[in-house]
Amino acid sequence: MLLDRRRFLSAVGAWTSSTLVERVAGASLARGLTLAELLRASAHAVVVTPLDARSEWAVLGGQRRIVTDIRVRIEDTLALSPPADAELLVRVLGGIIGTVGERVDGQATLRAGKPSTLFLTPVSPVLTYVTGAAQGHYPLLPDASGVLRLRPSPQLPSLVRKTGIAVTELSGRTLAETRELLGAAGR
Amino acid sequence: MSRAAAAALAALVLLVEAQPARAFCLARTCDPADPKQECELDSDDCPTQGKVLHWTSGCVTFAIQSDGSRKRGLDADDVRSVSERAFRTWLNADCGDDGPSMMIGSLGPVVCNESRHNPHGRNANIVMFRDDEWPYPGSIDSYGLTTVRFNRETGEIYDADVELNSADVDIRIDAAQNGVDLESILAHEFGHFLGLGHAAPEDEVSTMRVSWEGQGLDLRSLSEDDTAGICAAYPPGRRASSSCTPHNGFASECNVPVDELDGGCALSPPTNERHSASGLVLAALASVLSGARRRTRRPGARS
Repeated sequence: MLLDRRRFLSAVGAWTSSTLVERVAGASLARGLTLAELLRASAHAVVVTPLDARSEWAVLGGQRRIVTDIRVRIEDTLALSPPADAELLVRVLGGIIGTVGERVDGQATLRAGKPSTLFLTPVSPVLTYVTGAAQGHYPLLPDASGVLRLRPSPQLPSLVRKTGIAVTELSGRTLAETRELLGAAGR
Repeated sequence: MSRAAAAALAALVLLVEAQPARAFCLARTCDPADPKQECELDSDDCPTQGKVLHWTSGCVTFAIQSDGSRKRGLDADDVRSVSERAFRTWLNADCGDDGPSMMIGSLGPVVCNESRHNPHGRNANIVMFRDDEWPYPGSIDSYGLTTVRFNRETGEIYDADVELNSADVDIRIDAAQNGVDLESILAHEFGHFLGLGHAAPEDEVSTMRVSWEGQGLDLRSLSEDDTAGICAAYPPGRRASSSCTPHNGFASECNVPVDELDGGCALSPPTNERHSASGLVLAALASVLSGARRRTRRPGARS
């Protein structure tokens, strides 16, 4: 199985010229944020309904990457200050533009029409990022009684530190419980 | 139902019940973060739609960005050695008759410090540090990020880059106690580099698990599920090309057209102005790692 010299040099000289449709994926390893850290790094803790999305190129740290801006309607404010407008743009890394796409694992996975709780970091009055990437995203799903409860984002990054982190604190909570928990953590 | 049929059914039930749940996840072309794709996920949040991401060749190369991490005092050569060990962890997986059908070679160091893929130019699969600032707003406290670029129709991986957050994280070599262990981070990120996703949420032992204590060295050792994942992605005996070149050929700089450097041949003479493809590739000859040759299990490995 190990390449011999001739085979290796032959392989090195091989030429691949196909320029097929490409996309990008990624994944991350991140420190698990506590609820207090998540709140401290956020300006808004809100319930939203995603409306639509658009992908575009953006320069981040000198690198040209695809981002997706998701327009969301603010349904409720759970903690921190309410957004000034009834709608916001939430930016996540990755997306598709034409035949080129990028994907970064560990990002919030919003779905149109499906409500979520988001912790948001604004970079302008209308443009925000999800704080801690998927650590700041909690889809709302009904339990057996039809009560909406927070669940962890499906594509969390691998989290360092597994006790006392926001993801475990918030998962399974109702909105009322979450509001109370955030109020206590913010004091 | 006859007695024999009932016994067979009972045995089948026992067999099914005895099977451990799948804990590894192979990354796929369907992107759960893209609302338009509406990817279906299984009960462990692993995508079930789309093609599995994979390197089609049986040989892949990586390169270390030449600056290493000045902030953390990590030299590029030292990082290369650690990277080779981290890759070897995956290549040493025991797939039964043989190791994974994959070899890894090291090229470099390279000048380019961007995560990018040039669809019409030369490329490199780069491990790079971010000493000054982690460039992704909102992604606070990230340790590392692997970006894998692939053909969305076939799942073929074209390019993969690993960025490490040395600006915020005290990354060290052999950090058993203080700091965060570079080889542990790389072992996890290289799992993504090879096309693996995160393990199931309840998995607490795999290198690809979704939570880690941040200390110790146990990410360096594969679990049974990690092994099952890499062996599923690159099974022994897989028919694959032996090309080790990055997509469209290798370049040290960020944006080199295919017809620059040497008129399309990857074996041009070295120049003083840039790292030549030939020198780096020849230097890599001694650094090709093979899963088939290194089957000895690392001490302390769980698998």
